Amino acid sequence: MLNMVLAMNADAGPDEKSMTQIALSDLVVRIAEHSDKRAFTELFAYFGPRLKGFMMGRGMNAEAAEDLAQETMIRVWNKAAMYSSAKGQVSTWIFTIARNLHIDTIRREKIVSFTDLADFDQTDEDPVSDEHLIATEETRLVAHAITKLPGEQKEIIEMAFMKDMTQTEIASKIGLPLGTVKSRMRLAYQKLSKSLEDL
Amino acid sequence: MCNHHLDEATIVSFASGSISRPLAVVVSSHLEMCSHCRDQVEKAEIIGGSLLEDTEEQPLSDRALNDLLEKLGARNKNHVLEVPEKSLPVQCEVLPNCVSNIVKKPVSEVTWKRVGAGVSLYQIDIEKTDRASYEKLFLMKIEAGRTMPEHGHGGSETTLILSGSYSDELGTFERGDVADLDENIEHQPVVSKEDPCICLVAIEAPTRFKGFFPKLLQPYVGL
Repeated sequence: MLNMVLAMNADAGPDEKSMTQIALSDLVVRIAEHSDKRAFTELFAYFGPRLKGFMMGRGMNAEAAEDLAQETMIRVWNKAAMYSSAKGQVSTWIFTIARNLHIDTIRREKIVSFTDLADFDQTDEDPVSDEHLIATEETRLVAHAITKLPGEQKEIIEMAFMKDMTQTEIASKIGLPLGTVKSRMRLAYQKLSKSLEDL
Repeated sequence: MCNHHLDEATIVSFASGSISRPLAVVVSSHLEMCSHCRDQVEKAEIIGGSLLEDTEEQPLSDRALNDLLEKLGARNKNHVLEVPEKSLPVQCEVLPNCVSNIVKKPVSEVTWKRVGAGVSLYQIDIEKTDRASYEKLFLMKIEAGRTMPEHGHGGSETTLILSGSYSDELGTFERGDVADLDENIEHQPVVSKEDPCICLVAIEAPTRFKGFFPKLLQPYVGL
């Protein structure tokens, strides 16, 4: 059975450069509703190498990064029923899982502080399909807006999200006052946030 | 609800996960009380999702998939993992949940250290990481009616009001409000006459207070 799953996945070829968020969302729903290992395998083929790259960007060695990529996907498997497509997209949801896992790992003591924000709000039981469609556009719009950011703002956003650097660390790395780093972050956030208003 | 919110730069850093522990605790505490900032963080998290998609892929080892599939437990689709009670019930305790988890007692049982000028402190120990070496987290209680000395901030200072209120150049701050101040802001808080003001404060030192304030705080919080 497993071999069949693997073979089918191999037939499908390497993952496309970017799967649509709707396709990714459908995979998570199949995991949630049917414990579908084939869907999980596809999701892993897509996110596994990215998660490993993400963890390595945050300073982990290849082995530890792969372990955390796997651990992230185990949480995806276990928490699939909590994913709500109306609340956000699969890649954003998986990012938050990976981020929290990385934080937990580099800390000696685990104290809840990064929370799943989704836990605060009661999610709608039956997401309206419009919301679903809107949510699936979010990362595409933001990705596009990121490419339009001035280099100096993009650099700072990437240092924070992909290199795990605090504002102070960024300021000292690029030799600018903390206030300048903050203002660039604000400007970048405002632009990215505005890109979502087009929805 | 809340009238004073987090700096957007703080929202971005929090969403990225790259933020000091003391500041993360203050931000999480504010988020427990502020749906506006929760929405902001959710938006900023989309940046993370978008960048994750664009991350340079690193090839996985050959056995990664098999290892992973073997580790998967049985899923019960009706079993939603235990969700900690984070939807906020009535706040009968002054301390936010994420602070209670660390302090492990109600604010009424906190052992305050009087440092003078109507100010008492309780330093909250959180685990030390390299990143936290210049940052401190503490509860501060200021007596009713007190005027704090005007001071600026060498680094950032983020203050969440937990009870009572104060007013300064930026307005009136009540429970749930956060003063997320950068190094360029100087202020002189005046605590309301009715009640003492209890705040949760994360300071990224060095803080260059004007006047006697640093002398009060330094020995206690090691700034």
